[in-house]
Amino acid sequence: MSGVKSASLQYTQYWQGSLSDYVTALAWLPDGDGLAVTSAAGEVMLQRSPEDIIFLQGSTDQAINGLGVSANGQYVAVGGQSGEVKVWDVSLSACPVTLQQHSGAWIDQLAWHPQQNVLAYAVGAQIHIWDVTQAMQVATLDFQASSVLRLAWHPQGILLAVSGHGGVKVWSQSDWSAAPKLIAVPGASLDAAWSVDGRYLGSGNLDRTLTVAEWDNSPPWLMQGFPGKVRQLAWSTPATASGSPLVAAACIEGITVWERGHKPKAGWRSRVLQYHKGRVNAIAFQPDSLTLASASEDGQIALWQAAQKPSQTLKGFKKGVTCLAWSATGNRLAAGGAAGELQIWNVSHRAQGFG
Amino acid sequence: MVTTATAGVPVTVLTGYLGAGKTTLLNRILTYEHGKKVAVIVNEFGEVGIDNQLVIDADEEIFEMNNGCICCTVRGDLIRIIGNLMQRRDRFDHLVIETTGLADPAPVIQTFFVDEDIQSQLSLDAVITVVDAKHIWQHWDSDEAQEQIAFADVILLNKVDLVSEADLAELERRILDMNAMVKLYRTQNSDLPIDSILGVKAFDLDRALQVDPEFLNEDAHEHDESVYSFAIVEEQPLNSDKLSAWVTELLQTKGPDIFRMKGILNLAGEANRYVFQGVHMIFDGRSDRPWKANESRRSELVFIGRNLDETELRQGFRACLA
Repeated sequence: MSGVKSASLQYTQYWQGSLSDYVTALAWLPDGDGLAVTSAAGEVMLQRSPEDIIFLQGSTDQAINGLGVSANGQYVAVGGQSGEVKVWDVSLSACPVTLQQHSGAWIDQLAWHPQQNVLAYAVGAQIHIWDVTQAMQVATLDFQASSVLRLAWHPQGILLAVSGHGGVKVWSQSDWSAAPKLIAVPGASLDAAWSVDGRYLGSGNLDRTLTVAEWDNSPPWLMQGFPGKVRQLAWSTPATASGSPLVAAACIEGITVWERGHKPKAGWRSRVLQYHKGRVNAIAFQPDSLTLASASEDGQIALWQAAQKPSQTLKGFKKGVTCLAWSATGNRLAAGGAAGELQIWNVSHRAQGFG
Repeated sequence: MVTTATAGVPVTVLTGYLGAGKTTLLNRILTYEHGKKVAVIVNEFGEVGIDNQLVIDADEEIFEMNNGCICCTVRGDLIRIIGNLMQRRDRFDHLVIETTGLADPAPVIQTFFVDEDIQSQLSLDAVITVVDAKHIWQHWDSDEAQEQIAFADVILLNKVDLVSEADLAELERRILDMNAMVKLYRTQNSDLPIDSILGVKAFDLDRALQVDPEFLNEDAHEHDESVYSFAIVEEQPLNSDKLSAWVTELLQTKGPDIFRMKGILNLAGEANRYVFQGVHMIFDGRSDRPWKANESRRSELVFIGRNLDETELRQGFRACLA
């Protein structure tokens, strides 16, 4: 646990703003200063600093639901209700390049490759892989069983996991034409998430279960007993004493944290984090820490020290908190609300007193 | 087990064969000055939509659910699209979902009971089926035509100008034999007062049972179709433990054949009425208001299903008497 931030943290408001409607997504630029934000009214805002805010797109009345910033921070990509995928080169502040127009499709899933300027986005059951630098479509994959519900690149970018009905299909970047590996789940996979070390792939399922696969090590674990669908997962960067990271799963108003046992073939034990009085809309571990942040429909963000107890709460939202994101270093936390509110906090270690 | 949402965006499900008049009805709903902002999810390309209306395409995607107590199918595309739509909650106050002509309405209905987000934010208002009064006979024996009739709360018998009064009366008789709970309207060009199809509250347990009293008093008889409905009326109170065991067994063994059921129950030792409804294996029931002093305490249930053994169900029910 050395090097893990575990001391109590202090959150001071750094900036607040607003969009005209429900904040659908937030994404930090890799420098930890810039933040891209989208809304259900179609706004795409880029905030490089409190003094430097530009609207890449104003309200269009067509919701934007998918947002991503490329690994090098050069590109911002969005997709939404209009069926368009737009990419801005923010180093040029130029007009966006529209990759493709898919009329009739509501595009809500897109994900950048973790190192390259390669974008994956889903149109119904089809996954398009674009090399944005070359302005060229690299591959089209077909999930077949249903529309795509989540796209998740392996942290090294070698694999792409895709959620949908029947489970998670995993394609290999080295050969897009090869048949994907299926991690079957009961019902449908709603969310897929790789652990930061790429060792585990988790799936939150509509059937009130959580599937965790140790990659190339079958069979997967199936965790049951959830009171509702498992809508989102988050993995901690650090491992616990067991050598495995924690995985948190959001379900209705609670969060379940799973920790693997110490023995080599050990399974996972859980604890339930209860505080919220409304649906948990988003969860995320602070990078390099076991502090978990949760955003809820009850208008609060809870911070769970060591993913155990709520150490602090952050308020200031009229309705629900819809999304949150930590900057890459974990020094800032951004969150968006259902009424369009935006907040950024600076995170610092609390000054130690003298006794 | 599941509880119906008391408030939320009302949802109308529109079914019927291609060419029956669904699109005409949809356009009436969209253009009618009812003061409602209507969002529409369409599954078939028709000429729907006017500027400033929220019209969204969705491809029917059936997800199987199997979480212990409930085995059923839901519409995965609706879960995804409605999730996106609800972020724009202030843009609409009524949602209409059009299904394809070949769709079984059950997965749409089940989605509203099974998915907790949809259940908490929306409430199913009614299933409206448009029937082509002249051409329905060509499809009469098909599963989807029977399901669309059996699951309906409201049926528009459309194009009545093309059929004789005698044929129409026969069609109505056969539809009511399949579905005794349905409200029938004869229409031309899908024209009818909009308030007879929007705000019906057919899934609201407070409006438990609205069935022709004559039907309730009918005895068991032969049915023309494999899909039919029948009612059980019983004055004697029920033992709730026996009833609960019977219903559980019934849903597990006959769930796929029971399309819908609905009723009011007179439970022994209870001051309140018990109201319930079911869709295949999904059961939604709760204690309702107290029985009134001037009201006869009696249980009334309606079953709609395929190949149901009426005699066996009546016996099973009677075995639950207190």
